[in-house]
Amino acid sequence: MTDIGLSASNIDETNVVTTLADDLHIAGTISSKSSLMIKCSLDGEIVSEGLLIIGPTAKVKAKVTTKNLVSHGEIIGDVTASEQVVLKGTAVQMGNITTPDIIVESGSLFNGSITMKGKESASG
Amino acid sequence: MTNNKEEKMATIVPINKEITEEKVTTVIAEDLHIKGSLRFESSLLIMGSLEGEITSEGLLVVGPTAKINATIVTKRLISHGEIQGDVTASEQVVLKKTATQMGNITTQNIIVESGSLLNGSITMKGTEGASK
Repeated sequence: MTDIGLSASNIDETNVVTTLADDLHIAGTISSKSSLMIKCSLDGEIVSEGLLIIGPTAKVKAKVTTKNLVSHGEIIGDVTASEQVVLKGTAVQMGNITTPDIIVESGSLFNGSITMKGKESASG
Repeated sequence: MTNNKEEKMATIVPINKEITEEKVTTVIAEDLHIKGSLRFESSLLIMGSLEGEITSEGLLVVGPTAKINATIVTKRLISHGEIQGDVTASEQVVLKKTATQMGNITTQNIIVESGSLLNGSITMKGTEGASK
């Protein structure tokens, strides 16, 4: 399902519909219906209904809502993913995550809280 | 006592080796329930249940059958089981796919596998706490 994302240590862009290159800066809201790869800096909000890949050079300061998130870059803001979140070894996440399934790789930096389904939310 | 147990465990629970990957000096078996505080220096595998507090300077492995309701301070934690309580690990926390973690985690390095259940906040060093 998240094949593209999971094997994305050598980030495969062939299946990514839109790529925002690293010389771009966006302030505002972007929404996507399929897959989106962000390598640029972004301030605002991201709404995606598919796979969202944050590249290693990306700096995202946004509220992120998506189905799948694979992050190699920096995200400051809360993330809600309806299917899965993957934080790769280079990822920096400052903000809360809400998702049913999460993978965090060694090396990633994460400050925030995680809320997952299952059991009555006995979260702290 | 632990030695006998260890030998028995070896036959009863051969999965231990897979689980720990490293040598574990003490094993607390599945049928054991501990209430209170626990302190150790090298390594410990818990398959049973524990309520209270764990303090260690080594490796704590929480087995898939374990149920722990405790505040944990350790160097490394590898969890396959259920933990309710705050965890502070000076080196690393690994949550395997069968792990359930209800409580906050403070550590330098974390690995979370797909399938694990985690509710709580994570605090890591680096960058001043821009969390929330």
